Formats: sequence, C-alpha cells, structure tokens
Amino acid sequence: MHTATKLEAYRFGFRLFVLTQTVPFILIWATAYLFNGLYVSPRLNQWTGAAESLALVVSGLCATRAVAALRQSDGAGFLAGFKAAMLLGLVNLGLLAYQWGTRFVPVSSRFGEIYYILTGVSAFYTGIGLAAMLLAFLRAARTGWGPHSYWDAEAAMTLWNFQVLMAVISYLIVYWI
Amino acid sequence: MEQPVGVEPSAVWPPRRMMPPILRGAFWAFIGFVLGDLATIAVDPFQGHPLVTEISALFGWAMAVIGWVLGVGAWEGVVLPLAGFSEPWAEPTDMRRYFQFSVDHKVIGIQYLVSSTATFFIAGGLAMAIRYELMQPYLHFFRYPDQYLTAVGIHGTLMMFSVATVALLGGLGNYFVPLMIGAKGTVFPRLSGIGHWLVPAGVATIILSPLLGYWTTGWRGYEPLASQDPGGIVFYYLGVFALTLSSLFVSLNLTVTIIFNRARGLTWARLPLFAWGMIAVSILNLIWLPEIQMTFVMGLLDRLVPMNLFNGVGNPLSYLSMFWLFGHPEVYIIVLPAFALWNEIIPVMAQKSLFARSGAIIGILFVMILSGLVWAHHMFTNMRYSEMFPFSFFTEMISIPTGFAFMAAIGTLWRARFRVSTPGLLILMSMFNFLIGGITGVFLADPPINLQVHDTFFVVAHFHYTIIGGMVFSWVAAMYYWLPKLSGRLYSEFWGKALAIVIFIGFNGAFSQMFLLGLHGMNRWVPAYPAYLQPMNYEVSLFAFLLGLGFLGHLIHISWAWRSGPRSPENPWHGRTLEWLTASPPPPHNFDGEVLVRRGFYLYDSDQPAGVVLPESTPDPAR
Repeated sequence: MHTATKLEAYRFGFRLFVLTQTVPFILIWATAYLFNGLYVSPRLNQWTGAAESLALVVSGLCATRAVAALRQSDGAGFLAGFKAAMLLGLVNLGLLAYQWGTRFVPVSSRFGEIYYILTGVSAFYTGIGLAAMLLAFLRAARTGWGPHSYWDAEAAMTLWNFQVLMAVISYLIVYWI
Repeated sequence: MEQPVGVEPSAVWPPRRMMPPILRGAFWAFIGFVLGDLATIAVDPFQGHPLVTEISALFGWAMAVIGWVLGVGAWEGVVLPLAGFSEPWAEPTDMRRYFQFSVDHKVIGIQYLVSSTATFFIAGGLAMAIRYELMQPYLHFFRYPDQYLTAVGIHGTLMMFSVATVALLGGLGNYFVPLMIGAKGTVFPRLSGIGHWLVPAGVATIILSPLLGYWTTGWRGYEPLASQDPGGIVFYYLGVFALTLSSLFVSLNLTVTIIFNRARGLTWARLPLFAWGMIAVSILNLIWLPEIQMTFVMGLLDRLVPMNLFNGVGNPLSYLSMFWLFGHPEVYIIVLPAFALWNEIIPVMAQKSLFARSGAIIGILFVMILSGLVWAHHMFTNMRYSEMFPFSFFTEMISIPTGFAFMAAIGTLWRARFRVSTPGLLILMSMFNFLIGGITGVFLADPPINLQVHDTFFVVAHFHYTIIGGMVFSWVAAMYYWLPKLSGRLYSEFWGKALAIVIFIGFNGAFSQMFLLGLHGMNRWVPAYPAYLQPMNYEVSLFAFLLGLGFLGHLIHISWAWRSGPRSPENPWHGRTLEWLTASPPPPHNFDGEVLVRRGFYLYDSDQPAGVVLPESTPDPAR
C-alpha cells in the first residue's frame, strides 16, 4: 500500500475508533435524562466545573498547536505544546479529585449516580488521552519527528480533542441542562 | 511521505534469552493480580474477606489482563516501539509464532480459530452436563440450583462472546479477508494481535467466575437478579468486557482494511460476499459493543459502589433495554457471516454464476440496519400492547432481507449441477436449520405466541436453531471449504459427509423436540421440572450427546487432515476468489506480486479468471 494511502487509512481508522467511543457517552447522557430529566443539583459549583472544562479546552488548543508546530519542523514547539497540554489535563483531573473529595452530592442519590459515573468515565478517558500524549512525547524526545512523520502525535492529539469535546458536552449536561 | 508507526523488528529470533511468551504472560498476569488485589485490600480493607473482595478482584483482574497482554509480546511489539525504543523482536517462523503476540493476519486468524474452537468444546462440555442433569426431573448431577444456573450462564456467555462472535470474524475474517481482497496484510495488525490475546483472558475470567460465587442470570446478566447474586457476576462483566474489546479491535481493523487495502480493480461491486458479511458485522460491532461495555460498567458500578441504577430501587427495565439494544444485533453479528458463506460457497460448488448477487448484499445490509430496531421483542412480557407493535413489525420485516440470502442461494442452486461435497452438504444443512430458526423467530415476533412461550424451551430451541444450526454448521462448512488453503491438504469426503449427517441428526433430534417441550410447558432456567416432561427430555439429551460426539469427530477429522491428509491441488474447488491465486498455505506476504481484479468472482459464464497476480508495479496489460 502506498504510504500516503496508508496514512489516510490510519487517519480514517483512528477517527472511526474515536467515533465508536462516543457511544458510551451517549448511553450515559441518555441514562442521565432517563433518571434525572433536566434536574440539576443546587449543590453543584458551576464555577469549579467551568474551570475543569476550561482547562481541557485550553489543553486541546495546546495539543493542536503542538502538532501544527511539528508540521513546521518545530520539534521544540511540539514538546512544549504537549507538555502544556498534559499539565492542563492533570489540572483538570486535580480539580475533579477535589470536587469528588468534598462529596457535595451523595453517591446513592439519583443525581449523584449520574454525576459520578459521567465524570468518572470522563476522567478515565482523560487518563487514556494523557497516556497517549505521554507516549508521543517520549517518542518525540527520543527519536525526533519531522514534518513528514508525526502520525503518532496526530493520533494522540485527535484522541485528546475528542475527550475535550466529550468532557465539555458532559459538563453542559451535568451542570446546566 | 514516510509515516513510521513503530520500530521495525530485526529478523533475529530469539532476540535474547527470555521465558516463552505465553508463560511470561501467565507469570505477569499472576503478579499483576496479586499486586492489584493486595494494593486494593491495603487501601480498602473492610469488604468482607481478608484477601480477595469483589473490588480487589476488579483491580487485580485489570492488572492481570494488562500483565498477560504485555507478557505475551505486546510490550515488545506495541509499547516499546510506540515510546520510541528499539527492541529486537521478530516473529519466529515455526510453531512458536502461534503462542505469542503476532502481527501476521494468518497467524492471528489461526490463533482465533484455535481459541474459539477450544472454548466451543469447553462450553459444549457444559452443555453436555446440563443435558445430563435434565435427563431426570430432579437435581441429581448438580448439587444446588445455583450451580446449574451458573453452568447455564457460563455455557451461554462463552458460546456467545468467545465462539459465535469470534470464530467467523476473528478466525476466518482475520485469515481470509486480506487474502480475498488481494491485500498483503491488514491496516492495524497490532490491534488484531492484541485482540486475540484478550480472548483467553476473557474465557479464563468467565470460567473462573464461580470462585467469586455463583451467578444465576445467564448470558444476559439480567437485573435485578445480578445485583442480588453472589460475586461471580463481577467476573462475568469483566470477562465479557475483555471478549467484546477483542471483537471491537478486529472489527475496526477489518473495516479499515476492506476500505483501504483492496487490490487494484476490486471495486465495491466486485467485493466478495464474505468480505461484505465481515464489513456488515464489523459495523454492528463498532456501534453496539461499546454500548454493552458501558452498560456492563454501569452494572459493575451499581454493584460495587454500590448504586441503585438497575436494582429494585432503580429501574431494572432500563438494564433490559440497554442489554437487548446490543443483544439482538448480536444475533445478526453471529449469523450475517453465515449468510455470506452460503453465497460464497454455493456458486463454487455449483460452478454457476451467483443469482441476484446485489440482492444478497442488499439483504445483508438491510438485516444489519433493521437489527437495531427490534430489541424490545425480548421484553414483550413487560410492555403494553401498543408499545409492542413497532417491535413486532420490524422483527417480522427483518425476515424479508433474510429471505434475500435464501433467494440468492436457491436461485443459484436452481438447475445447477451442485457438487454435494462436505462443505456443500453442510451449507445446505445450515440453510435448512436456519429456515426453521427463522420461521420460529417470526412466530416469536407475534405478541400472542411470544407471551405464551416466553421463557420456555421453545425459545431455547429457536435461538439454538439460528446459532448452532445457522452459524456453527456454516463455520464447519467453511473449515472444510478452506482447509486446502489453510493447510495445503485434503480431508476424507467419506468421514466429512458421515460426520455432517451425524451432527445434522443429533442437532435436529435434540432441538426440534425442544420446540415441543416448550409447548408442553418446559421452562428455561430450572433444573427440576414436572415428571411428565421427562421422557422427551431424556430423548433430547441422547440426541445432544450424539451432537457433541459428532462435533468431536469433526474436530479429530479436521485436525488429522490438517497435519496428515493427502496433498491438495492448488485450487481443488475451482474457486474464483483471490485467495485461490496464491500458494496453500499462503506465503508470508500472501501474494508474490500485485493482484489485479478484472471481473466479478461469481461469474461462471466464461473461463477467464477473475484476477491475476502481476509482478510488482506492472501496468495492467488489459488497459
């Protein structure tokens, strides 16, 4: 298979995989509506949730810019961008851990069940995304990538931006809708 | 544009002194379980047992599976290359390659076939135990009802998730799809390579589930029963998670491979039927496997946290809907490849052009589409009549595209000189069996009949007719059909046909009487039953034992032929699909050149071959 076709196949396959991973989120969103309707707990702190989401959104932008830097042969820019993206991802997880630690909503309540499942699953995918970026980061630091060989970094960025999107939609559903 | 995805291995084997991968995997699985389990116990010690709790088993299991997969070779084959480390790792060329992580789709296909066959006989052994128990109307083999129900659950779960879903997709799909589309490999070989090793992990998890306690829900994990059961249900969720992840990986790989790796000239209009079947099944898997995985994660959290999503305080019917949203497409995930195999093998055996090829493909695609609209017919006992109608309607509608598969097969058989070889005979038997399974499925779509026979042996007979009768018979047929390609050897027609007749008699003797048992009031899920049902149950068990012996006979016969059968000619059936253009068994890169497809594979109106193998980068001489 020609190399360009191979890359096209990788891109299509990876995007298809990412698309399949929307299904678990859709199932939880549907369950949230089924069990809670449009109820939002008054104990929620919208600002903490917003900060979590904002950290991820900025992180996604950093990851996207990092891959763009790689396309311009800027290896240092890539490493800096992925490092910033990973740090912001850890900030997101830290804020979530803080919220979980306060136990502001009991896990046995209807709202609590959905809150902990949705944020927990989102945190799991954040962890997977961070691991993918870390692997790409380590590989780039060891072997170096150029404008013509950055598929792994692009894949990590795609996965990360998918997770950012899922987390933001989940935030809107849990905190506002 | 060069896009390296991993460090290419050297050709040196062994790279360094190391434990055999399968032993290394088992070792790290054990270490992983102990570490995960004890670390959880250290953090969360008061859950009812000093060493293993349901929560610690969960974390121990996760670590064990990671240790297992990395130990069998994914560490060197996937993780180190992804992190930029160069590790001299290459596959051996002898038998050892089947006992470790591989990126060769043919090796992976055979690994899947061996795993699913072994599981078929383990789960089949449980079926024999179940039938032995039911020869008497009271408990005499199992000691407690929960033992019996756990055996039924393990039988069903293994058969559904590690045989029926896996054998045709992971086994024959991995092996033959790249060959049939003229490709030299798959797009994501590492994904399928990992996928296979999740199968033994999932199977072992389910077989070992009684260590955590019996579970009585059957393969469906029904709520609120699951939330009341002892801990074995935890390993049910986890085992199924591993098995579905395996099928998800293979589905992704085969879908992308079919879309991007087709040979020159292999347009969608010429794609082999089996590849169409694989892509339809893969799409169903890509949609519904993540759905059931998330449902099981919710079931697991419901139990371990605990929550009240699906128990009596929550909404058990939501679980049922979520399960059957996946569960009914699962039936077609199993049987669509069988439809494809009918129309793959029949034209070859008849040496006659496939009748209504487009109809056969449209049938497969519409069954795929409609399969997502019928799930609630499993829940008619919990619904209003007005709610039943759309599900009843779509369930009956699905028989129409199913009929397209029959139409293409029968149209091809019409006035054909059909070679009643072993694969041909088994395909005809499969069609007969599925016809009965399909027609009784239409009965079950009607609410009055559904409500009458719900949870009786009528339903058990129906789904065994579709799965064993439809899929397993087609699987055995395909094994005989492709045995010359897999091994370069032929089987004995006498023994093949004799054993086909044995399983046909055993199967129909057992399961046709189960319809009558169901109508006479024999319930599912009970090891004790009214004495008036005993004579027929006794007969059913005798036929079931015959069926088991027949399958064992096929295994011995195929294994013998694979190793010691007479040498086969290169293309013994005069098949026209691309796998017959290469040596048997195929070389490492499948074809010694570039494959060019010139016409459809199911046209027998001339002797012109459908495809040719050209030296690399040769322009098409016909252009």
